[in-house]
Amino acid sequence: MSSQASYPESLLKVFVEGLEKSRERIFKSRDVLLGPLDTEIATTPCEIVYQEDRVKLKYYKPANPENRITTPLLVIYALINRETMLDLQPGRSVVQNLLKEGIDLYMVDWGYPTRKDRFLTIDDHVNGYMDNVVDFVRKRHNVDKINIMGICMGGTFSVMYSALHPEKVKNLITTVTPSNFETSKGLLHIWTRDLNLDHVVDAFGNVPGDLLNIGFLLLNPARLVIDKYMNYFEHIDNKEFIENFIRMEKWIFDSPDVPGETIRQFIDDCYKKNLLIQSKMELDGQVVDLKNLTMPLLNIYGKYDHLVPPEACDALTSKVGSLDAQDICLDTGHIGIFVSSKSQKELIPKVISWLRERDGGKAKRTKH
Amino acid sequence: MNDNRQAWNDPFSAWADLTRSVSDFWQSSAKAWQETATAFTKAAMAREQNETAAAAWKNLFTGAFSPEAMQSLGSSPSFSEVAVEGARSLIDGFLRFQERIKASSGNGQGADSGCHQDIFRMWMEFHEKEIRPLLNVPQVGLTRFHQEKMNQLLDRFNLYQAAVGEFHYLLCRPMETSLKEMRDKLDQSREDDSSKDLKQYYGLWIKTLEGHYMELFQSPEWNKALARLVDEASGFRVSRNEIMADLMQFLPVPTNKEMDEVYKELYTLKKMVKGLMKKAAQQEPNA
Repeated sequence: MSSQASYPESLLKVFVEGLEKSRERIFKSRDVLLGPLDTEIATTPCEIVYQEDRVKLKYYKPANPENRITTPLLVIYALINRETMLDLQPGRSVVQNLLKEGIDLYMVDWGYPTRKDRFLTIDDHVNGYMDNVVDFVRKRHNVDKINIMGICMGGTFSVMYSALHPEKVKNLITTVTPSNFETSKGLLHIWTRDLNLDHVVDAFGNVPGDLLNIGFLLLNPARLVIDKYMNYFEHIDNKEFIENFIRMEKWIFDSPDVPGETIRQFIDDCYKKNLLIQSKMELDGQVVDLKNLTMPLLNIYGKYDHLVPPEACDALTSKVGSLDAQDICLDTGHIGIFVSSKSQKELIPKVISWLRERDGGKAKRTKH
Repeated sequence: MNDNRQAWNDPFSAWADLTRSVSDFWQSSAKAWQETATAFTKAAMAREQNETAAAAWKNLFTGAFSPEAMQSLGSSPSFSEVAVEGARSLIDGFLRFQERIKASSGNGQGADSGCHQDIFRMWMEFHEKEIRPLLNVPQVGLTRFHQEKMNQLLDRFNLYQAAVGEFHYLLCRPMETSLKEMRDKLDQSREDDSSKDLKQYYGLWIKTLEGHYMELFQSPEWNKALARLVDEASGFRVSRNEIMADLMQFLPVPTNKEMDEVYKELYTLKKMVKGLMKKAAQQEPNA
């Protein structure tokens, strides 16, 4: 009995019709794929104002100098993937939206680690590169403190930095930032329990970006490996869709390797021992005490974030020393929070109004 | 004998012969192991395919211990006798292993049962009991270090292949289950005479597949298989790198190990200098 015999005839008819449509679509797609496509990412003009080893500091001039927020904002992105995600597409760029609101924007570009960076620890990133960058911005703007916005792993680094150098941070914003790693909600949290990353670091030196990408694709192969490309094929004759799709593909697979010792420590101390939220984490012998986070804190996360679920984010505000700590949970996911136009309409105004309220004035002593 | 004497007079040529013979052996073994691993996964996916695995096993033994491979090994002193003994032991172990697979697959359990995953466990046991002791036989002579490393690589490769097989099997399972479910749904829809759009069927399948993957990814068996794969892949890479480093000693290029030593020193020095510069900058305004 062949399996084909069990298929309803109507389905076969629909299938044949689908093939006809696909043929038309492929025919039309020639014009799109072979024609000029605008797929550039990170197109907002910026200036490299500081560089140390592979790490660069980008400065973006505010587009609205009249309504300026006086304190500069430093964005710290994760070591996984690149900060270009914040400037992926014209009209839907976090960078451009922040500039429109009169922010002096600085962004750390961690660059592409090579084998010689394999020994760099979290301490080297936090107390080394980050501290030097913060000092540079403070000096350039002649201010004692600056605003910091950390994203994902960069947010975790920002929490560590702000706890160790509270005198240099005016306001701290953490977005999709894991701080409590003891949760069984996200697959990453489940998988890392049994993973021995020591072996990977010993074998590779740095953890290859491609290896991490395979891990991320495995989080949802049905959607990320099959459905996503079916959708691509469905819209292959739509120029705008294809341009945005390619931009996203460029960003997703632009994955620098992660310095071996840094990720080893991140997995061991954070994911496995959950030391950060207990204020037991140490960087080069210094304890990262969350009670030292006395500056205003805005903690933003996504309700549908499958990488850093809300449970991994929402404990932070209750553990810090600040009396002005606020949680905001948006109806979005890990990436959508920055790239979807709906989320950007929510995220940016919230960040801006929160910063404006605290720009120069006294912080409100409220804990939400 | 003359060949051996000649080889001793010219150590570089001896080394070249050794690497060639080991490489021949390795090539034929690797090919056979590759076929075996593929067959293992296939065997795990459906009971009736056990015959395929058996055929691959035959390939393994005829490949790895083919006259050509044995002849190439024969040129390496002190190895041929051990290899012949090893082959005998391996074949005995293999026959026992095959019996167990046969018993396991013949116990009336269906294709979806866990019995096929046992193949990987049995293979690991077989490897640990029968193959690993052979690979751990102490080596002697000028080339003992290289031979030990080569054996270790073979050991690691076997474990890696088993881990890949298990991982692949688990990863394919939701696909197989979801397709089977979709087939049932299609049959059902024929009986109901309810015609759905092809896209609707596709959407239904993707949703089903996603559900099965989510279920799998939260299971301890997946966690263990993933951890094992990462461990074995890393172990295999380390062993392979060691062999590569040995071979590269004959080339005028630094090895990763040597470069890592330099990087480590550079890292320590840079950190020290940066720390001192920071301290000096802090003291400057006071001076």
